[in-house]
Amino acid sequence: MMVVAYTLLLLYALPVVVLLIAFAFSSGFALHSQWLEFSVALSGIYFTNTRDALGTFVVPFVTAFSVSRLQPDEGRYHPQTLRLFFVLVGLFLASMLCYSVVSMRVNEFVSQLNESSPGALAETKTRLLNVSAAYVKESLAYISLLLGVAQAANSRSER
Amino acid sequence: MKQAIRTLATMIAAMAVTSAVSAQALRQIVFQVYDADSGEPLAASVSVDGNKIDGGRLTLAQDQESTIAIQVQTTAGASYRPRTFNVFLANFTGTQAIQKIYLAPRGAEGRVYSRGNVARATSYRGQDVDRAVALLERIYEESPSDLHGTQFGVYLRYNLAAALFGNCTEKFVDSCDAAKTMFEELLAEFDDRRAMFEAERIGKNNLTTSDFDGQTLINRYRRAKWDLSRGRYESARDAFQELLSEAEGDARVSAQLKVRVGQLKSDVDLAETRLQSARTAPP
Repeated sequence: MMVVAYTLLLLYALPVVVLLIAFAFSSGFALHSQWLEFSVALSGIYFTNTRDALGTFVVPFVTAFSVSRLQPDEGRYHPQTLRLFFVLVGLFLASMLCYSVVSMRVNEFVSQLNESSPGALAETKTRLLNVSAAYVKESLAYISLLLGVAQAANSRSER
Repeated sequence: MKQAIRTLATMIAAMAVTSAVSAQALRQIVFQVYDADSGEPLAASVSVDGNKIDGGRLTLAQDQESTIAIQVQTTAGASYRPRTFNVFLANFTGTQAIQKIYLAPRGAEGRVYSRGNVARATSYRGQDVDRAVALLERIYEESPSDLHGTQFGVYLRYNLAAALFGNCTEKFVDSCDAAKTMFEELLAEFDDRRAMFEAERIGKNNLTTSDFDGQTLINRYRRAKWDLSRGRYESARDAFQELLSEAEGDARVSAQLKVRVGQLKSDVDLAETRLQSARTAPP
């Protein structure tokens, strides 16, 4: 179950990962790079199609089912649950970093693109900001979901 | 019968005179203004040397010098970026010269420009370099200045400088100095931003080979000739004198100008003679 959860988390977080790779490969969006075009295309398809399904249903569902019960003899979380917790915290920090660099340097990012339509460029700028902000909020929601489910499992074990 | 023939001959003579006068009046520069984005004709106001001209047509006297140097100002309402530039036309001997001017619409507040916009604007260089200049100037002026230090900025400024130089050499617009300044700025940044220049395949030789000084000298000479023809003898004499001094001090000046020192001397003498005649002439 954990492998499935991590794979789905990776798929869900792909735009954030690619945006951060693009940031690194383009010297902070100062250089033109194919990674920039790739991240725009990826965030486009995620924002319009894929992310809704992954973000609102699949990832929280799998995350909740990946929580292992508290070991009865020890008053602490199961290592598998802890690993998932730290992965989600990592995703939250990565999304925070992504949001910060995108909001700070979104004009630099957009200026390096080959697109020339004013409407498409304005839409790309808005979408990049929205996508990176959405990941911050959602990863925080998954952390609270994970803690809530783990606590519930803990309570049941104690009973 | 004789009377009828005489009347007919008089009419024909009158028509010939009218036709000759019309031919003289047709010696004009026509300024056609276009929208730089769409390429469509634009209703715009054109002023030459501070005076608004009707219908965008500047009519010249038949005995006008064939070298023309004028300051053109074009506006087309608040939604377009106005343009002001000097233009130098040499060997204008025909009846009509058409000067196309492109005005770029102002971008919406907060509009973002990209490499795609620069590439599109640059693609007009082969068609009409003035259109490329109008569009690239808009991108340069409406983009945040901190973008000028990115690869986008290098790409934009290099293409703008090249277009300004093209406008100077192909359409005789006085933009060689602006192009030279921009190329010099890029050259000064070259070592610090080598990766950006290399990514754009711009070498130091691309920034240094253009003959800006030669073109500027040619434009100065054309301006002086124009001043002479417009009765501004003193400024014409001073300009010829400066060029003569430079040509006497450095043989390359004469070669770049494509005018011999002897010709410059006679230009100075002519301007001086006309200045003295104007001073001694009764008011």
